[in-house]
This record gives sequence, structure tokens and C-alpha cells, in this order.
Amino acid sequence: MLWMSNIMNTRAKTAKDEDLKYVTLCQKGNTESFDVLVERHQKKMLNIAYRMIGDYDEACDVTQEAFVAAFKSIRQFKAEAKFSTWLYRIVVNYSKNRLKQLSGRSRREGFSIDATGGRNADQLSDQGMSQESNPGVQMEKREREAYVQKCINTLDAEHRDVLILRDIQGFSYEEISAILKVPDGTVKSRLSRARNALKNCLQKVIGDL
Amino acid sequence: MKKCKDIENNLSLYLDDVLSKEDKAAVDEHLRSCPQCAEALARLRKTKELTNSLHEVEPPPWFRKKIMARVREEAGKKSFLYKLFYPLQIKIPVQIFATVCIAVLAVYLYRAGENRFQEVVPSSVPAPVLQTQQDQSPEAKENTSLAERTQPEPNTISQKDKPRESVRKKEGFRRAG
Repeated sequence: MLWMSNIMNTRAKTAKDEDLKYVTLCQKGNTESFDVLVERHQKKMLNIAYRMIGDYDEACDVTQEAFVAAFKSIRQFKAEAKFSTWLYRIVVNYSKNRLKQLSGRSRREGFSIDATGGRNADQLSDQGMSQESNPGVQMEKREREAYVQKCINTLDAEHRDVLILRDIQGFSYEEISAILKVPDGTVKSRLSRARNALKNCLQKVIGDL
Repeated sequence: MKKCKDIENNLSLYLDDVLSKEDKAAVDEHLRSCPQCAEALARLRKTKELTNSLHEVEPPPWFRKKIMARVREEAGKKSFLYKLFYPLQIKIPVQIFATVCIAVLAVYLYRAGENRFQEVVPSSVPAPVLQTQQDQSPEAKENTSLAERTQPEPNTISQKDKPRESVRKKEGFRRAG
């Protein structure tokens, strides 16, 4: 009975997957259909990478790498999960690897990731706040966002990804479990620890929440 | 009644409304009587709101084009390899056939080259043979020259046959005409 329900779940997932048509075309050698997939997922991919790394230029680079890697191994995609889940897993892993590289480099060369010369939340906040007319409020919001991003940057990679996927990108526990390939219970416990760590950090930085 | 530590571990799940009915009821009951845990929940809620309100960044305008340029580049590399090696069920017999053809051609060329080589290089009349001819006595020389004279040259056409040959050639040209 369990295998029956697994098959039904897989069928339900693939039936909903709107990307599958373009993925199949890509697998048959139609390169141009990948353009549709890039257009659909570029923003989400970039935002995951950006919040994971905290640097816009690095995030752009990582997202490009992730898309190219996805294209290279698209024949290995078996439609057992949604294509977007598979794609987001790639960008999360690439972001984690880039973080390791950057932290290794910063340790060797003695600078922080924030000081790599790339653009971070401070410099990019105008993009999302253009509708806010009051400059004072805009400034305050920008400052608060910068604090939140700095506190996210202090989290361990395994807590960071869960927090970003749940509280920023709004994925469900089930989806996070599929993206990170960890059990549901692990997602819950990691998220609880990540939120508590972020709360403590923000209390230190901002003061009373 | 549960302890504050146990409740604190469940607050994150309580916030997302994913606790079981029993656990949710236990947290509700505890929060009514514990102001510290209620405050912890409020802070956690505020933290979630702050994280939730982070703005989304937009991809740069060139982003998609650049990704697709790289993807096309990869596809080019891939198709070159594909053309070279795949599909195996076609490529392997073709490659084997081509190898056999090359081998046969090589052997043929080698043999043809060997014959021509023999034609091009003068017949291996070694210098010592000439020397021995010179060393021969005058009588022996005469005998050999007589023998050479009496033997007709195989490749030369005798004077008698020449007219016949020319007549045959002429007849051949007329027929062709």
C-alpha cells in the first residue's frame, strides 16, 4: 500500500509540474526551451542565493553557475520531484559552496564577506522600497533590513538555508524537506533553532524587538 | 503542566500552526499562565515578521541573456561530443568499418609502393660485377659480347615488326574514328 501511495504522490507532483514540458524538450536536445525555465525561476533562484550569501554580485554569479549546472545534468532529472525543487536544491548547494570559499578566503586574507566589495542589502534596498515616499521611513527600513541580513549571515549554513526557504521564500515544510533532502523533523528542529538564534542576534543588534 | 523549556522548543511550530491539537492545547494553556513564554513568543513573531518583510532583489536586465549564452555554449560542447561518440549503436559499427577500410588501403598502398620502388631504383647490378667483367680475359669478353649480340633484346621491336605495328595503330585510329 505504501508503494501505491508513493506512486500516486509522484504522479500528483508531476501532474502539477508546469515545467515538465520544457524539461522534456530540453532533455531531447531543444536548448531554447531552457530559456522558459530560466525566465520562470531566475528571480527565486537569485533571491535564495542573495539571502544565503548576502552579496548581490556573488549571488548573480552563483545563480548563473547553478543554471548552467542544471542544464548540464538535465538528462539526470527523473521527474520524481518537481523540477523547481531540483533547481532550488542546486542553487542552495552552490550557495553553500560559495560561502565556504568566501569564508575560507576571508580567513586567509583577513577580510569579512561584507567587505568583499560586492553590493549587499544596504546598497540594494532601493530596489524594493521605491514605493515608500517618506525618506526617513525608507532609511529606517533599509537599516533594519541590513541588520537582519547581517544576523542571517551569522547563522550556520544549515540553519540559514532552512530559515531563508521558510521565512523569506515561503516554502512549506514538505518542500524544504524535498529541497534539502532532510527529514521533516530535521527541518522543524533546524528552523526552531535558526529562529531563536536570529531572535537573539537581533535583540543584541537592534535592542528590544 | 509542561516546563518552559519544552514549550520554547515548540514555539516555532506553534507560530507556523503545525503542532498537533494536543501539543497546541498544551502550549496555549502554558502561555496563559507564563508571561515569559508569552513574551518569547511575541519576540519570535516579530523576528519572523522582520525576516518576512525583507524585500526581493530583481535580476539584472542582462541576466537571462547571459545565462542562455552560457547554456548555448555548453550545448555546443555537448553536441560536439555527442556527434563524435553517440549514438553508440551507429557510431561503433561505422568506426569499425572505417578502421578496416583504412587498414586495407594502407596494405594496398604499401604493396603498390613496393613494386614501384623496384621499378624506380636501378636493377641492383652491383659495382663489383662490372669490375669482374673488366677483370675478365679478352677471350671471355669476346664470348660474352658474342652471346649478347646473338640474343635479341626482349623490349626492343625488331626492324621487320615496326611497319606492322604502325599499320595496326592506324587501323585502331580509324576504328575509333
